[in-house]
This record gives sequence, structure tokens and C-alpha cells, in this order.
Amino acid sequence: MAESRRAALRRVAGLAGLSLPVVDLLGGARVRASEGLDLEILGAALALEHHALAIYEHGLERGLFPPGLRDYAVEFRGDHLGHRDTQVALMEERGGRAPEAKRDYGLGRFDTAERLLKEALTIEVVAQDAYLRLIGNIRTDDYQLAAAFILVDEVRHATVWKRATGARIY
Amino acid sequence: MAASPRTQSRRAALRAAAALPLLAAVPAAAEEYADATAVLAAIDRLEAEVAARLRTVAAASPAAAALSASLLGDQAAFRAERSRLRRRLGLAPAPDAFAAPEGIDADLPALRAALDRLVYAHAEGLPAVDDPHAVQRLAAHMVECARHLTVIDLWLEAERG
Repeated sequence: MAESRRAALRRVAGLAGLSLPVVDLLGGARVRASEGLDLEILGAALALEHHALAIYEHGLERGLFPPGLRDYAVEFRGDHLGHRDTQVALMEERGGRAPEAKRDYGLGRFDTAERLLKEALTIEVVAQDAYLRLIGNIRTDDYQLAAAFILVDEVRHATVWKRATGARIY
Repeated sequence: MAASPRTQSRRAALRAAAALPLLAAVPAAAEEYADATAVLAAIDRLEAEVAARLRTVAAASPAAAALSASLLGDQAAFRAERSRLRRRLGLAPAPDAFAAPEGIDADLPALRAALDRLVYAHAEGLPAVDDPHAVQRLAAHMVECARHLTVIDLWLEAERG
């Protein structure tokens, strides 16, 4: 990837409008775990899920995923729908208000299979990095468990797109 | 083993989670771990099985030697870090060696299943660890194990054509 992981994280965090405590956490700061922080993390994770869904919808609607990879894109879109719904349910159960998807993620420039696959890989790697940095700060057991299984999905997505873009996977 | 108060609390949390119709991310039959000792012991045991299966697959298929060496190298680093985590958490050291199952065949689907169990043990164990740094480090190991699992998945898919 031409864009570094740190730069990609900053770009996606900016697009998603993540809250200050979460941006601090992603930057490596120590933040005291609390129910409020769990809600902030849930909100950040949801923002990333909305962004990932937008990329898959964009690519699938325009037929940008090559035939051999389209089934993966459909599978991964389904995973992200599940992640989104899981986290909306968790957030609402805790009395939080789930953030909605943005109207525009600036996806128009991803108009070829190569560009789209690189952006899909970027968002999956950003999601993987974000969940990994945040998971130790999640206080509630059920959300930590859900986040762990979501993280496993993100790794699968990133690994498949890495191979598709010619990157090393082991 | 009797359930600890923490385990009971986790079970209650999981029951509550299971009641949410859309909580698809958590398998219905998640393993319960009482504490970090149980989690690390399960990971040690399952990792030993994966290692034995990897060696068997590599011995039967020289093309898998580089893959096997890479994954076994990762596992060695994870074991070293788990030793440090045990010291941090005030736990007894791990036994020197874990017995892998006997009579292992060079069976890729069985290797995949063993890796899957190892990934699940990490994921399901995190809430029982109760130390943010240790959780983060075990989650990082889980990420690598999930990558290994996907590599094997892709190999299996390629074999199926």
C-alpha cells in the first residue's frame, strides 16, 4: 500500500468523525476504562463498519469486483452488516445512540477494480488495527467477546484482499 | 471445576447477549474460561496440536515447508510472550512441553479445524483475562492465528478449484 497504516488510520478516523477519547486511544494514549468509553468505542467501531459497508456497496453496485473475488465481497459485506447490527444492538441496549452512516464517503475516485481492492484492503486493515488497539480497553465482557469475533472476521477480509492485491500473506 | 463469580457473571452477560437477535458475532456455544490460567493452558494445548499438524503436513508436502516454518516461527514468538504475560499476571510458568495428539495424518482440513479451535480459544478467553495489556497482546496473537487460518482456508479453496 502506498499509504502507510498510520496515515490510513488518520484519514479514516477523520472521515468517520471519531470522538476525541477514541482518537487518543488509537494514538496509543492510556484512557481509563468505563461504561462511557465502551460507548465511545462502540460508536467508533460502528463508524468504521458504515464506511466498510459503503465501499462494498459501491463496488458491488458498479460491478467493480472481479468475477473471482465478487463472492468474497458479498461474504464480507454480509459480515459487516452483522457487525453493524450487533453493535447497534449493544449500543442501544446500553442506552447509547448509534451513529448513522454518512451520506458521502468520497468513493467516486475508486472507479477501477485495482483502486477499489486497494481501498477495501485499507479499510479492513484500519478496522483490524482499530479493534486491536481498542479491545483491551473494553470493560464489558459481552462486548469484548463480540469485538474479538469481529476482529477475526476483519483479519480474514484483510488477508484475502492482501493476496488479491499481490501482498505477502505469510 | 466450579464456576467462579466471574464465570457466572460472564455467563449472565453471554445469556443477555444471546437474547439479542442480531448478536451474530458470538457463537452460540462459546467456551467458558474461569481465569487467565485456564485460558493460557487451553491456548498452549491447542497450539501444540496445530504445531504437530503443521509439521506433519510439511513433511508430506515439501511445498508447504516455507509456510510451516513461518507459522511455527510465529508460534514460538507467541509462546515466549505468553511466558512474559504469565509472569506479569503472577501465574505459574507453563509446562515445558505439551503432548500433541498421537497418530496425526497430513490432513489439511484437520489442520484447519485445529487452527479454528486455537483462534476461538483466544477470542473466548479474552474476557477471562482481566488485564488490559494481556488482553491486547493475546488479541494480537489471535490476529496472527486468524491470518494463519485464512491462509489455510485459501489453500483449501485452491485445492478444491
